[in-house]
This record gives sequence, structure tokens and C-alpha cells, in this order.
Amino acid sequence: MSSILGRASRNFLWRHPWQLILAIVGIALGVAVVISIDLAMESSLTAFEQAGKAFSGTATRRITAGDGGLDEKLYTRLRVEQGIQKIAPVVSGYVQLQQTDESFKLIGIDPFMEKSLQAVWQAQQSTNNASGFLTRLVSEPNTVLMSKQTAQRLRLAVNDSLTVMADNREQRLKIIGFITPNNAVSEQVLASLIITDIATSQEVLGLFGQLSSIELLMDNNHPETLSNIKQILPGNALLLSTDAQSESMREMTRAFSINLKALGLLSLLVGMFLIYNTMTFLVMQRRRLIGSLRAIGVTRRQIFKLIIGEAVLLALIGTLAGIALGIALGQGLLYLISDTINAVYFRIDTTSLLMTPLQIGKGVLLGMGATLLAVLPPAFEATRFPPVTVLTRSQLESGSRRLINAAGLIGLVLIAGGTALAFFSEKSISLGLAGIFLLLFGFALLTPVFTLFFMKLIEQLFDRLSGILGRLPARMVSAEISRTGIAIAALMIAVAATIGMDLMIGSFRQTVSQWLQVTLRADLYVSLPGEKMAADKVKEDHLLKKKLAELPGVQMLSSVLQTRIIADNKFTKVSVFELNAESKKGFIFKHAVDNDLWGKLEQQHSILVTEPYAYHHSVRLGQKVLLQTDQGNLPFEVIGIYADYSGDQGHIAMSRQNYQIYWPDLGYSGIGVYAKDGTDLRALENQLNKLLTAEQSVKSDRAIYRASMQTFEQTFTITETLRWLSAAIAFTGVFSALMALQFERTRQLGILRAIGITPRQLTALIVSETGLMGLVAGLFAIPAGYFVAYVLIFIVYQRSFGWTMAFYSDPWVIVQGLALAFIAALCAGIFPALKMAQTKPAEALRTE
Amino acid sequence: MMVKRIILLLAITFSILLLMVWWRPFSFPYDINSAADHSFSSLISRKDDTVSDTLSRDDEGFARALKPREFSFPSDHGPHNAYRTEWWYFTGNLKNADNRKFGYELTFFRFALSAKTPASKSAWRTNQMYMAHLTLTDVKEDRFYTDERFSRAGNDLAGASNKKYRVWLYDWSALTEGDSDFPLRLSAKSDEFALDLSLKSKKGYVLQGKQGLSRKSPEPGNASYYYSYTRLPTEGHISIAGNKFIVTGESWMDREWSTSSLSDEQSGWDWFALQLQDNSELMFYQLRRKDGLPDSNSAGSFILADNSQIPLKVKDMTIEILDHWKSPHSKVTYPSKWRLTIPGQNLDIEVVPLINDQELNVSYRYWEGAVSVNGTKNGKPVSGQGYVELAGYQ
Repeated sequence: MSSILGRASRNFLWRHPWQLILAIVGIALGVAVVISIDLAMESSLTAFEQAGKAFSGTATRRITAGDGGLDEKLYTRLRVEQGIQKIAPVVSGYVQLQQTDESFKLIGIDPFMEKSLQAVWQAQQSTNNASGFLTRLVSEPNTVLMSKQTAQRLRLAVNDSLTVMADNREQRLKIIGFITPNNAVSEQVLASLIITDIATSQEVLGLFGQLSSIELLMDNNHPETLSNIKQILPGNALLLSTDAQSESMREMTRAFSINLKALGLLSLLVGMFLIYNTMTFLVMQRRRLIGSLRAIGVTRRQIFKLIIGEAVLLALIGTLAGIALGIALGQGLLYLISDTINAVYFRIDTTSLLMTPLQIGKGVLLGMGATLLAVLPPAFEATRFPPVTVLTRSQLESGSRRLINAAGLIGLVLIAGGTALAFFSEKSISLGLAGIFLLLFGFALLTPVFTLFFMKLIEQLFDRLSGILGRLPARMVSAEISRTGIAIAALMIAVAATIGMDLMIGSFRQTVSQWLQVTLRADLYVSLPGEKMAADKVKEDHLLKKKLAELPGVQMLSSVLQTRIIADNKFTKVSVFELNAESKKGFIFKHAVDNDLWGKLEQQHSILVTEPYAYHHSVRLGQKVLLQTDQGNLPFEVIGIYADYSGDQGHIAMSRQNYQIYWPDLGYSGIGVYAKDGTDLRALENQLNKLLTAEQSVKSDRAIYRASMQTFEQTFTITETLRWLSAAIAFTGVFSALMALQFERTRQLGILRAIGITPRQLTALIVSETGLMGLVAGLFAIPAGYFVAYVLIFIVYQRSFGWTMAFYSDPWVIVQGLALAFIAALCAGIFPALKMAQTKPAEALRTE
Repeated sequence: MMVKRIILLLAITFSILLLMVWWRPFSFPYDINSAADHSFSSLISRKDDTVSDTLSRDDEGFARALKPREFSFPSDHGPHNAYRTEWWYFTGNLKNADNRKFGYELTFFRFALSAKTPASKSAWRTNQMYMAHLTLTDVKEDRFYTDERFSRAGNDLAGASNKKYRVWLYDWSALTEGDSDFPLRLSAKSDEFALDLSLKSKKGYVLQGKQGLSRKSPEPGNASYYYSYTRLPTEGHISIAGNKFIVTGESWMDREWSTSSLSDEQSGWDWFALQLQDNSELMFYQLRRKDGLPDSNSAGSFILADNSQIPLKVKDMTIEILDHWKSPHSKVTYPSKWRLTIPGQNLDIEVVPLINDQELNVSYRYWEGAVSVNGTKNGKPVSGQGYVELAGYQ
């Protein structure tokens, strides 16, 4: 019996290859997008963590300092005075390979320390029989270890040299051994590391007297040792557990990551519509066959199993294809994601994808789960077909009319619920996004009601203008609302999401652009990058500033130093300002400002904070923030909160005068140059350029504006990419749904042909039906999209990132959305329309 | 049937894919747990070649002990970086008020990784590396504790001073707290045990060999500069697993530096440092040859109560091995009981380890243990204590 069932199923499926392929594409794309985002995001962060493990091994705690660096004598004090064991000093930085311009992280370690840390280079010791390789690392300057893969790729062997740029000069490093991956650090991560002795690292990077961090292997059973360490830590250093550090790193990128994952889920959701649609079609098409099977004794259970079996097969193929596609897609997204993290959050090294069975398993589970979920309703429906009696479509449809009204009501409830959820989500981004999903789902459920209403309107409109053929398209849409409704809803969701995100990004862009225009007050900006720990930087920076002030065309200067200090036991970005009357106008305060704010900022223990900082730390005006200094934690009063869109973590701002009392002078990050009226800015720029070193640069306010906007666009590249992906899935869905719909109606269309409708008229009929469906989806997507944009701007983004934005409505977005929906639907109608037009009426009638 | 076959085929493909995914060196974030401690001390019977390799590398460019030199203190208590190896060796027998016996060893080794010190602005750039060994013998419990430390001399993590007696590696140190060389304070702690001792000098130093030049083979330069403080009254405390013992006793300090000592045919040495009850001491090192024959360069000295010194040659002394002990850790067999006779001194003694298992399974494996001495001198019974070192056994 089962072989007959199997054959029946196979024969049927083979006759509808297009449906099968589209369903598989739907699953595959949905799974691919979800997996690729997960893989790319995790790879970026894991690479960051693993790079740490390569040199610190199983270290559980880390002492790090702000930009001033960690005095190397601190390590001596810990080892010699306190007798603390299992600690390891690290000096690290970046070097650029001359040959390929690749960037490598150079990590300097002390090879003679406890093996208990189990770092990658230590494992090397037991595997590498070449004797004395650690001894060479210590005793021979400029000797390094690197990954075998990288060495092979660069065609380097042991005892070969490579030339790198570091500390502003060319330097030669000699490879004396290879490092091999272990279970904590993968080959991919090692590929971008160079390990060397701490002395070589200091020499190559020019970081004399400084350490980047001290790694500690210490459990929680030694509270007194920990408090001893904390007591001798300088003001700019912090002792943190490595877990807490990677946690805070993940915390920083959490909002970003959740937003991406939500986009991925949106794709999967649209993919689910597609599967549901295909499976429903496949069940409906066979209602006669299933009825007959039931009549010859096939049980409901067997029918159910048959449908589920087919779905599992589709899901398997789709998921596997999706995983393969996801890995390929993830590779592409990896660069986009790590670029964004680099630009907005912290420096990470791009590596290749790091895949874990866990992530692949997640993808399989999602693909299979989503497919089975989507196929459950049609599978149950199939078991309900009574034997033999052919269930007519009309019966089905009249049942669904009642359902549609109920769905509409539920839709309204969901919209209300989603909005409420978003409003009361507080700081939870996930809840905010869940609110948006509910909203979209609510709108989707409302779609059939809206469609019926809209079709009635169209009917009445065309009733006067034309005859039966004019009324037919709208009638056809309403008559099969149980099928058309779903296709329209899927299209509507995709278009609404597109409109919502477009509006949000547009508003954001406008807000940032206006903020930049207010903030950029100076005529020229000199940027002074470079290693802040480097010994001569401070002196040279001050010298440069003095020279700038003496230039004839210069009226006044302002300066900023961007560094980190420790607030509430966390590293916090701080901008240290020297402001003039003009640059003070560049602050957009979020509250009324009294006149002596600037005076207070110079004189008292006070700071300004940015809007995201105030939001994330729940800081209000007048509140005191504890900042760590060499004299312990000192309170600083928040006297102003200002707009800033340069980062979503926010930062503190203080006057240079205040800063210099408690923290080390680290030179400048940027100097603003204000020219005298009538000065030729071009000439001044050229003059400035002559004073600068190779890595310093001068830019006009316009150039800075353009560069900033470019960074802005770059951070949204990934969002845009994902949005187009989900639109593509939606299009596939609609295409498949509409095609299924038309093929299902072969007989009906045959009758139309038989009663005298020409092929041309039939084509027009079908295309206008699908066009109508696209139109209604597009129209309904406009309010839904605005709703989504509103929630995104005023709730989700404000709460994820702490930015307030103004809402900018762009009519072009609406036109685009409408056009997208309409054209997508129109295209989807053309293929079946042409096919139907070619079919002979008799043949069409015979297929039943 | 067809569907079944397709499902089967897919299942197989899928498993292969999964297998491939598993096979690649992926990271498993969930199996990174903090691993058990594999620090040097617990690496029983596993040798690390780094240090021993360092000892046998090319000697080019190093200074050599060729002829006797003038010793001057405190500067000669400090490092002699031009020579390849150097050590500050402290051993001693201690007991508490209840007559519970302990032995200890605290040794600082210096190794030059290369002959020249590279010039650098980095405080970490050095060619000098230090190693220290700490042991404690608890006779009553039949326990032997060991630990070791390594560090480069850079960034003040380890080193020795030639201004006043100070040698240190991390928090382990031997240093004088006043202006004179003694009393010396030794302090070192490990996870399980620790010592904090004060050493006074009772008899002053003796120069071993020929005015401090101790030849180890006929080849010129295969020699070391060697002086000893043979009797250092000691007091202080030790602790084992949190239990503190107030102890007194006597220590011995050896200072030696050289570039190469053993010649190719020599395999190791047995070294005796014995303090007899009558205030005399015996130091003798017997060099062993690879062919099993005793080496004619073995030598030592007998130091009388008035600190006068009688040099000993091979022919002046006989050493008879009375027993052996096989280490359960390294499976190496060591001699474990000796009969020493010096006819010229009318001395006939038996040397017995306080406990057998005093093998250091650290990066450089050797046996170094507290011993007791019993026998006759000039026909009268004599007893004593000391330390024996057995190096080069395989």
C-alpha cells in the first residue's frame, strides 16, 4: 500500500517541478540568510576572543589600561613583591606586511612562564622538536612564530624573513618556528597573528616601558590576592575577568547583532509563507486523489504521513542547499559585519568563517522546523477530505470568509498588542523587535479584509466603465481570498518592512547630516592618529599645535583628545576638549542650558555626557559619575547632555584643564583650525600639510562631513543588503503563490476560453488580477511601513542605541514601495498568463 | 520505495556533510574549561628540554675559568654574566623543638643564553636567564616537596647584585638585610610549602680547588670558580600545607660559575657536602665517566674546625656504594648508601639519605637530598649531617 502511496506522491510531485523548485528556493533562502548572519556575526566576535586565547591561554583575568598603557614595573611588583604566580605580561600591536599590505597582530609574550596557561605557543614546545626554540625567541632579536598556513601562503619557510611596517619604519622579522592551533584557538584565527618575545614586541612597536595587558590565571578562591592586586593598580588600569570582558564586548555589539538577526528571521518568516503556500497548493490539487485514496481504505494517518513525508523531503533539500548558500553568503557578510564593528565598536581582525556544528545544527533545526510548522495546516486539511465526494472550492471559500473576519479581528488585536509591547519594552531590544513582528503579523492578518474591501471598491469603479471582463479580475481576487490573501499578505510584509526600514534609515541619515552640519564648526581639521603609548607623541603633538597657532591665517584653534578612562569600573570613551567660542556652538544640548555651563566645565569637577551615554547608564543632569584616578574614584557632576551620533555606546566629555589634573597627557587626537575672515582655505590647507607627518592629515569641514556620511552609509550597507535579500525571498514567494493559483485554475480558465474569451483577453485578465493583488499589497504596505518606521525610530532604535531621531517622511519611499509590489506581482502573473493563453480550451478542461 | 531510497540517500549525504563539518578543526567554545594545572612542579617525570639544551650549546664568546683569580666580596657574590652558568646553592639540615627533622635546598641558577647582550631600549631584552629550585624534605612524614621558577633577568624580575648580597627570582630571594654579607635571609614560597630562614656565617668562606679554581677535566677551561660557606648556623621557620614550624640547624652555601665543566666522556657527578659534629666539614665531588670508570679529576677538601683546608684527590679517598634505590617516578636507579673512607684523616663514615625519595623531577632531573653521617674519626665515633647531589643518572 505504501508503495502505491509513494508512487502517487512522486508522480504528482514530478508533474509540478516549478512549485517544488520554488518551495526549495524559499526554504533555502530563508535558512541561508539566518545562518549567514549568525555565522558572520559569531565569527567576528569569536575571532576576537580566540586571538586572546592564543597568547593568554586559560587566563581568567586580565589587567588592562587605557591609552596611557600599563607600566611594565607593575608586572615586576606583582611578581617580585607580591609573589603572584600564573601571570603573564603581553605587549601587542599591529604590523603591516610590506609584501601584501595585510595587517597582522603582533603579540609579545614572555616564554618563560608557567605552562598552566596553556597558550598556543606553549603547546608548540611539546610538539616541536627543534630544540631551544623558546630560547631563540628570547635571545635573538626580531625572531617570531607564525601560523604554518600563513607562512606557506606567503611562501615563507623557517629562518626566512618578512618585512613589516611598524612604528613608522620598515622592520625585518625572522620566522623561527610555527604555531599550531589547539582546541581553543583555530587555524583561521592564528592566521592573522605573529607571536614573538616581549622584548622584540616592544622594540618593533616602539612601546618601551609599557605592557598592553597582564593576563592572570586565578580562580575566585583568592579574594585577598585580588584585593592586593587592586590596591597597587594605577588609576588608568582595570582588573577584569576575561569572561566579563568578552561579555561586555558582546554586550556592546548586542543591539547591532539583534537587529541583524531580526532581519534574518524576517527572511525566514517570508520563506515560511512560501512553504505554506506551496504545500497548500499541492494538497488542494490532490483533493480528488486523496478522496479516492481514502475511499480505497487509506487511513487519515497515512495521508498525514504522506504529506509530512513530502514536506520533510523538501525541507531536507532546501535546508541543505540553504546551509551551503548560507556559508557562501556568510563569507560575504563577514567583511561587511567586521567592517561595521571596526568602524563603530572596536578593532577586530577579519578572518575567515568559523563554523561550529552548533550553528549548522541551528540552521538545520530552523529550516526543518519552519517547514514542518508551515505544512501542518495543509496536512491536517488533507486528512479532513471525506472519501470520494469531491470537495468543491466554493465550500472551502465560504468557510474561509468567516475565518477572514476572525483573522481581521485577531490582526487588530495583534497590532494593538505589538504596539503596546514595543512601547513597554523598556531597554529590551528583543521585545521591541518582537513588537514589530507582531505588528507586521497583525497587518498581514488584516490583509484579506482590506483586500476584500478594496476589491469591492474596484469592482464598483469598473462596473460603470466596462462589462464583465472589467469586473472579473477583482472578482477573481475576492472569490479565492483564501489563496490570494496569503500571497498578498506575504508581499505586503516584505514591502512594509522595506518601507519601514527605508524611512528609518532616511530619517537617521537626515538627523546625522544635520547634526554634523551643526557640529563641524572649524574650517580645517587636523587629525593626529598614532599609538598614544609611543614615547614622543605628546611632545610632538604640542609642538605641532604651537606651530599651527603661529600660522598667519589662523585665528584660533580647538582641540580634542579621544581616549579612555575608567568610569564605574568600566573603560569609557572620553573626549577631552579645548574649546573656543565658536566650537562651543557645535554642541546640541538636549535641555535648556544656563550661561555658566562652559565656565563650570572648566572650573569644577564636572563633565558632559552624550545622549547614548546618558541613556545606557541612566544618567540624569546633576547626577555624579565616579571616575577612577590615581587618587581613587572621584565624583564628577553631569552638567550637560548633548546629541552625538558617532557611536552607540556614548561617551563622556570634559575640559582639558580638568583632565590634566588627574590623567596623563596623551597629546591630541584632533585639532580644529579656525581661519581668519578672508583667508584662502586652500592655501592654508597646503601650508598645514607641510607641517604634518605621513600619518597625520588635514581635512576641510566639507571633507569631514563627506567622510562621516560615508561611514554612516557603510554601517547601513549590511542592513540594505539583508533587506534586499528578504525582498528577493518575498518576490519568490509571491511568484510561486501566484503561479500556483493560476495553474490551479486551469479548468476555470478553460471554461472562460470555451465560452469565447480570446487568449489575449485571458492574458490581460490574469495579469490584471495579479497586478491588482500587487497594488493592494503595496497600498496596504504604506500604513504598515509607516507604523513600522515609527516604532523603529522612536522605540527600537532609540532604546537600542540611545539616539533620538527626527522622523523624515520621504514620498519617494512610498512610490518605490508601491512600484516594487506592483511590478513584482505583475511579473509573477505574466508567465502563467502566457502559458494559459497557449493552452487549448479542450486540453485545459481535460486535465481535471 | 522511491521516496524511501531518496530519503536514505539524503540521510547519507547529510551525515557525510555533518561529518565533514565535524572533522575540520573547528572550535568548540563549550569545551574550553579552565584546565588542570600543569605547572612545572607537577610535571612529574616529564622533562622539558629547554633548559638542558641551553646548557650544552656552543661556548663561543664566553669567558672561561682558566687560571686562579682574586676573589673580592661582595662583588663576587654578584653575577658573572660573561660565564655561561652560575649558581647560588643553599642546602641545610633543620629541626624543630620536638627534634622533628627537615632538609631544604634553595638554589638560584643563572644561564647566559648567548655570549653577547644585545643593546636595546627594552627592559626585557637580556641574554641572562634565571632558574631557581626549592625543595623541602619532611623526614617524619617521608615527604619531599619541590618547586621551581624561571625568569629572564629583564625588567628586574630576577637577578643578582654585585653591590651587596642579593639574588632573586620573582619573590624567591637570598639577600642580606644589613650592610655586611651575613646574616643572609632566604625566603621562598610555593603553593604547598615555604621557608623563611636567617643564615649566619660561623666559619667564613673557603676557596675550593686551587685557590678557587676547580678543575673538572684536564682540558683547560673545563673548570669553574668555586667557593663555599660550609657552616651557616640557621634559624627561622618553614611551613608545610599551612603548618608552621620554628626551626634551627646548619646550612651550607656553594657558589660556582663556569662556562664548561664536564668534558665529553664525563656523564655526571656525585657530590657530598657533609658537616661533622666536631665542627669539621667534608666536600667531595666524584665525577663519573660514561664508560663507568671513576674519573681521575674528582676532588674535594676537608675543612678543619679552624677553617684550615686539606685538599683531597681521588687517591686520598674511597667511596663504596652500599645500596641502590630506584625512583618510582623516573625509573632511574640512584646509589642510596655510601661508605666513605679517608685514610689520611683516619675517617671512616657511612652516609645514608634521611629518606630515599629526594629526586627533583623538575625541568632538570637530579637527586639532591639530606643525609645523615655515622662512623669513626681517629677511632672515636663521629656523626654528622649533610647533603648529597647525584647528577647525570639516566
